[in-house]
Amino acid sequence: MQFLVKRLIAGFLALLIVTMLVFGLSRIHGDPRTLLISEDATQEQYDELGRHLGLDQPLYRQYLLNLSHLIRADLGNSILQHRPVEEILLSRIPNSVFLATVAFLFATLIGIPLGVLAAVNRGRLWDHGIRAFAVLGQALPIFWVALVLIYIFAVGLSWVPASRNNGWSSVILPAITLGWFGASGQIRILRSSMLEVLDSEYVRLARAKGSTERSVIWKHALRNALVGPITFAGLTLASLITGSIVVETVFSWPGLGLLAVQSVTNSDYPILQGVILLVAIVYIVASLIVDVLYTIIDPRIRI
Amino acid sequence: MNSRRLTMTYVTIIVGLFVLITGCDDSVTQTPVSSPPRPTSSSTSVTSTAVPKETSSSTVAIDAESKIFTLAATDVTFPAMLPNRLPAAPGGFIRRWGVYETAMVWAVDKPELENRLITGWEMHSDGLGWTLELKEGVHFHGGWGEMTADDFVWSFEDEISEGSIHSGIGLARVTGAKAEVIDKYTVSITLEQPNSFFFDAFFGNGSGASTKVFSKNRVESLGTEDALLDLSGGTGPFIFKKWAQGDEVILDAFDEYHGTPSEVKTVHIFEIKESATQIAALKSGQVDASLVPAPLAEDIDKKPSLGTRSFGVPGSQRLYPQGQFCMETTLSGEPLTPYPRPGYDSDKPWVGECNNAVSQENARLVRMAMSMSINRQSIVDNILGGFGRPSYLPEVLPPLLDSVWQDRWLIPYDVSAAKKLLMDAGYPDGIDALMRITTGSHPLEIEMGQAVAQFLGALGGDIRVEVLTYSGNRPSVVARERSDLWFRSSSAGTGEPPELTQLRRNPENAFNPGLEVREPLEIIHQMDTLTAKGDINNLREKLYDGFNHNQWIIPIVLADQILGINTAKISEWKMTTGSGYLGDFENIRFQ
Repeated sequence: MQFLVKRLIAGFLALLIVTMLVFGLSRIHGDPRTLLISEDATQEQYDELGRHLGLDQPLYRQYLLNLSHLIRADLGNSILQHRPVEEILLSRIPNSVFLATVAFLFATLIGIPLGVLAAVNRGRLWDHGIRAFAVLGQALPIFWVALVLIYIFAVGLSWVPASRNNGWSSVILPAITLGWFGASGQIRILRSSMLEVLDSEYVRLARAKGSTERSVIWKHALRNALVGPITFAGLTLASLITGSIVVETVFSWPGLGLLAVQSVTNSDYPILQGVILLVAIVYIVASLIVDVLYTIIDPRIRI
Repeated sequence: MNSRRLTMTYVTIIVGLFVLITGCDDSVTQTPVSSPPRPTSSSTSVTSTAVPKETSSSTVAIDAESKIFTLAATDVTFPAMLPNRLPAAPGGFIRRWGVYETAMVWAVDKPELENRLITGWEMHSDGLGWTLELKEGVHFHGGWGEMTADDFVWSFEDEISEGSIHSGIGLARVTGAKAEVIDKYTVSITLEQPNSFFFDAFFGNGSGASTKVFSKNRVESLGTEDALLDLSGGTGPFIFKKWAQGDEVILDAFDEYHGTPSEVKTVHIFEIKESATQIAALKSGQVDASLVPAPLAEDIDKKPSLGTRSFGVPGSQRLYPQGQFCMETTLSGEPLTPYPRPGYDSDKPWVGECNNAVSQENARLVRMAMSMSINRQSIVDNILGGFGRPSYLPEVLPPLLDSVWQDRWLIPYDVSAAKKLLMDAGYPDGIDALMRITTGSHPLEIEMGQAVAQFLGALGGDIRVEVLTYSGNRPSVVARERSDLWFRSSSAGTGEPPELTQLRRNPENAFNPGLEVREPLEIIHQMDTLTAKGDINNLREKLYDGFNHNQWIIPIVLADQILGINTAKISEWKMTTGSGYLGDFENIRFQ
């Protein structure tokens, strides 16, 4: 419990630093009024907007004002769309979560079995093949993988749509593209930790006691080898939700990654600030959940 | 052996996953055939997905029956509906979506304007204005009633009002244009001084100055802020059904349209940023039309159910050396405010000090050096695949270009000479610059812009590149905040005369790419009042001599625009000269 409180406080502080960075970056860019107000506005209108935004206040008070808006979930309005940023974010989050969930499932369902398989068959053909699969998954540029998949499965075979979110059929290619990278990481980490565990004394003892190979691998070895992969999985999930910029752009998937790209290219800074804060929150929550999961996987770990 | 059993288990899992995935695929391929997509209130379900190649003919037949047309677009960023808040050229807006209309439109088969929202017009006896007879029975989308002279005048005044960022505002102010209601269906437009180009500019659909008619009642009832996000109030053949910023636009045919009803019942425009994905969507049948990068045109043509078409008038790609804000007063002597402009920076090599002749000459040499350093033919050959031609004069498009061209206007590609010019101007080590490339008009504009940056970099300086959407960049351009280099690509040419585009650079105007120089404006101003063709041509030659000598704008290439179309579904799509690639959906005919 004490750990949780500590982590929550640390998370809160991290978030606070992020808000400072975002605020500082927005001020470095210049007076936000130049982005928000019509170029034909009068001096009175300019000053009034300044008062409305608190720009007539000292910088520290401006930051506190900004913080008070954030606490009330008021991220301001999009410059181009004239709509509240939180409304725009909420319209994109479900798409990103959908894609991230499917990609994560793909990565986990592929990554864990193949990681175990590679470790169990160390030095054999299976091991080499799986390692090659993992290296390719991490080495090949994601945009290239995406385009190859599109041209094979959408253009060549016409099995799935080439782009956009039209339901289950359209999530397959972007999820595989994203998931392959995640699965590759899972495979490499799990293989490594499994090899370490399989060489340990308690596994040899389990075998000596006559436990079946299945029991040795899945019950004794895998459970103890999962701490590393879980850390990786937690952060992978967070990055899938918030950071799939390339995949969302190539597949025109209307999620947070594409929104971030659009807000940068349109200079829509309120949206960009919202996306950055959301990314920070997701990462902080994900790392907290991972820490808690440690204790469930390995009771020896005390937090 | 246990590991063998394990192996078998994993193989079974993987095969199972594969079967599961392919099982999903089967259901996808069947869906459009057995249950064709229909427009519903839930716009996300409209999309026709995953058209299998083998069954394209049957799918096409069903799609054609439902009259849905799908299009991949690079950018659907056009928020805010009220005229004077539109961040992009309203002319393009009209042409693209067919939601709003102008008094007249360019005809499909001949280069002349024909009536759309009016039944006739007459020039005033003193030559200083026109009387327009509005068409009766034109209804606004969303039940905002019938269009009357009140709406026309309100729309015109809103467009040229204080705070408007419309391209036509400068021309309206220079000419002192006023609109007046004569009766319910009659409008009078008067000018304080004659202008040869005003009528085409404001009442046709080919220019950024085009006046589209909005419902006055709508804005007054909703209030300005709510009207910004309201999708009703136009009169065109299509009505907005959905507008998801950066994602998709859905248009439905307007049942009460006053003209010939559209055969297309729904237009579904997807934003797909990557041109490779756009082509994939076209090839896979996900969309019916998409822009095609020139080098891929041949590949598209090889597909039996696809075809390409090139626009008669190419797009224009040019480099603006921004920040040339050296006019303290308008042509009529009124002081410009603010002056100096926010973007004026005399330290920029291509800008120089305004009232210093030596500095101005050095800035001219720098601009000429930049122009001479760019291998235009190489861009045409290596990026455009031969689909285009070098450009040496701004805004002059074929066929006019060929009729006025003089060999002395050609800018040679000569890096050594360019470096010498830079040295003479006091920049022996080259120039450092930020170059913005704006996107949204041509699939290869980033590649073209980067090539230009590399050619400039060969002069020795550091050229940094920033890519931005046109809409994102425009507000800062309107505010005259920039003194950087701006590579801009325009979509296929419009029906407007090139002189009009120059007129828009009047310093009073809302849109200005960074050029407020008296000489060309004075020539254009003289051209306004001339009627004899020979006199106009003489002045035009003088104008182009000025552009050639000073390189206020650096033309790069004229790039052909190519559209890929599903010819198994679309039998005909007539576009007017000023359509660009996205418009005139009402002229689409299905097989």
